[in-house]
Amino acid sequence: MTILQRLLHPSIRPVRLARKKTEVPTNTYQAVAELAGTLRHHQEMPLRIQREWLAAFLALVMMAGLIAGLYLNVTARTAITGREIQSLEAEIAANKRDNADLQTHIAALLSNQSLSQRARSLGFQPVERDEVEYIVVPGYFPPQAATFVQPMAETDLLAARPEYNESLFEWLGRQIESASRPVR
Amino acid sequence: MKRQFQVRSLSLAIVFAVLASMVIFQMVRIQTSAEAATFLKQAERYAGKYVTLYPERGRIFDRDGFLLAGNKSVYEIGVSLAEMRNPHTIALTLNTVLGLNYEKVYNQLLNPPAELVYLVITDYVSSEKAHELMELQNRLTEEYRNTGDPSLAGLHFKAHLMRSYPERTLASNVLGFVTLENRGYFGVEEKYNNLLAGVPVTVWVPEDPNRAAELPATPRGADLILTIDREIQAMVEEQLRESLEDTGSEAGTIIVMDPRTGEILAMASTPQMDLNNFSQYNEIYKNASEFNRAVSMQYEPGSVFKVLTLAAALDSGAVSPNFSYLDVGFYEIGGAYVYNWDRGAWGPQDLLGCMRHSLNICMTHLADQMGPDLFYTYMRRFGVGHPTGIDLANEARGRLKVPGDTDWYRVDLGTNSFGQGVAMTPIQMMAAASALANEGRMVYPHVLYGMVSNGHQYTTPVQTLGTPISPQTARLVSEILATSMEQGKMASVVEGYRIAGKTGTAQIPGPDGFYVPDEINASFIGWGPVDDPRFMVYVWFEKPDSADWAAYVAAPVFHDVVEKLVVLMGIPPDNVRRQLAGQ
Repeated sequence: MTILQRLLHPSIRPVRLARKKTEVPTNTYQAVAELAGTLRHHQEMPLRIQREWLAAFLALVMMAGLIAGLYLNVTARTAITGREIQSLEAEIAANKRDNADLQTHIAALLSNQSLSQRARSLGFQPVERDEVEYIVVPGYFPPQAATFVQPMAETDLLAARPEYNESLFEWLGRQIESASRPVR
Repeated sequence: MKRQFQVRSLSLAIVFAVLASMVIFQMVRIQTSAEAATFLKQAERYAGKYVTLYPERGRIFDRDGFLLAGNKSVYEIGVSLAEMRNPHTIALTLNTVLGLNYEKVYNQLLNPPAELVYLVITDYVSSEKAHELMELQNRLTEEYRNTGDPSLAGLHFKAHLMRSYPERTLASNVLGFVTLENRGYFGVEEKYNNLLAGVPVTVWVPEDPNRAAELPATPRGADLILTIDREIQAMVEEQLRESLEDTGSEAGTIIVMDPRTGEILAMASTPQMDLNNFSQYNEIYKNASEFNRAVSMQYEPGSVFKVLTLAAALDSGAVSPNFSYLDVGFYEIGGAYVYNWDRGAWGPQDLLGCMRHSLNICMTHLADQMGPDLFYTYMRRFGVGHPTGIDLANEARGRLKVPGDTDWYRVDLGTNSFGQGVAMTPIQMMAAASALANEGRMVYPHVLYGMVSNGHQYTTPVQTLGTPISPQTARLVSEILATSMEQGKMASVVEGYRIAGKTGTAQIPGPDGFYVPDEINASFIGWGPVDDPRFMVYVWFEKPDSADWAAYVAAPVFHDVVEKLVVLMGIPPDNVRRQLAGQ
């Protein structure tokens, strides 16, 4: 029989001891002495009952420890994740700065002045008006307008997605709603 | 004895229980007291901090996607006073690497303001210098472990972005610059400052990692695409620099515009500056209007203005295309006499002769035929005396005196007709002349081709400022100008290309209002090819030394610019173009 079963079994529940009628203590020393007497009385209880009390107490302590441990674990993981978020935010900012740096550096390398100097050092020279020969290239249409497509628009916050905010019931409701939606 | 121990232990337990109860009681009391709200606020203050996230400033590109203005990392360097171990090493290092004053830094570190925990020493340090310092700091950390002496502990580096211009001086007059406060001055940077800067976001960042959350996105400022063509801009700037030396002019301006759309392909004026060293602004420019003379400097355009008078006279019907008159060398108007540029009499002349010889008397004659009301109505339609609205900062509005103004006299009708007594900016003159090259429609000159924001591109539509003249008049005036250029064998003629254009030599009024002898503004405006105009070029030199006439100063520069321009724009000679069109 487990400790819990033994604790819950009515036949072996500890016998409630009748409160001893005592006189009202006249001073503090007497009160303390009386309390000590109560403890002594508890010590004088049968060993079986004492063990049951101890088991119950230990079970409570274990449960409290378990809950505390779980709480500590979750809190620690949250804290670590929080630090990771902060670290990633810093990394994103650094990467953005690096990107800007690289773009500007590339632009400096490809600047008109740099390219002209390189071209001249390689023996090229600007073409003169009378050196140009114009021909018709069938099917060739020169670009008419500059088009700049940004690779990706700034997205919404990751945390704004429902997965990060909704409760279990809200998630369940959403799943049911999406499952009951007619398929197109 | 046993009882005594029991009593003692019990007493101890009771004492602890009482203490614990007191603590709990105090906690409850404080949390329910009147000062609870104040304490909570204090706690909140230390639980995190408000951080303003500044978006990256939008970039500026030319029409082909070359970066004209971007951003680069720079560093703020500060010292955490609690971590600092050796102020001497820090001061000496900053003196050696960054050239900061040793005494000043050392004193700052030793005597910081009260209650200061972090001291900012300097900012906007380049990446190279900052990385040099970081490397030194790491090396000295090991050294300190061994010897315990030199240490750069406490030195902190905070990176942030600042504006950078990879093309340095290229298109500096158009771009403007951004100061350390991230505010744009002049040109595009000032005109579109709000778009480029984006919207800063202030967020509360908790110290407690349990409460850490993703920072909100701060979309970068809008990227701008300009109508400027980098290659044409570079060519124009080179021509301007060379011609400025050749002509000995004080300053110069060259603009290239597509007369069909109003897109500015190149705009250069002197002096120019390396935008990365914007602190030199005060050394280079005496006043703000010098930054971009093309839009901010108004002047008396002189004879280039005659194209507008001719167009107005023809379009209004005041004179017919067959108009002719006898030039006797003077013309009396409003009780004053007007003379030709050479004070000569040119005999019988028609409109072609008027433009070919640039006769002031002819223009006065035309304006007088029109009368003040009609003449000034047309000038208003051409936008004279009104800003064009070009999307560049600090555009001057010009000045056109009209009947009713206290300083207008009848003689002004005569002088205005040949471009004296009227103040215009080069861009105003181009906008007005665009009507002649564009079937009578005046286009809105602009430098913004498009804008990219949040993944979408918005392109600036072509806008018309008005239709001051009919297409027939526009074609007729262009024809007269092209023919007069060809017959005059001017230096502006480009072989193989039919171009319409006009020189302008204007005297410069001094501070007393009288014209200064031997000081002129030399201008040239031209467009081509005449049958299908693809470019319009304006050249203006201030106070040239080499010659007294625009035909010798501005016209050759126009020729050189157009010779290179047709190659860069891929415009074949007229005969080849017609052949190719026929294929």
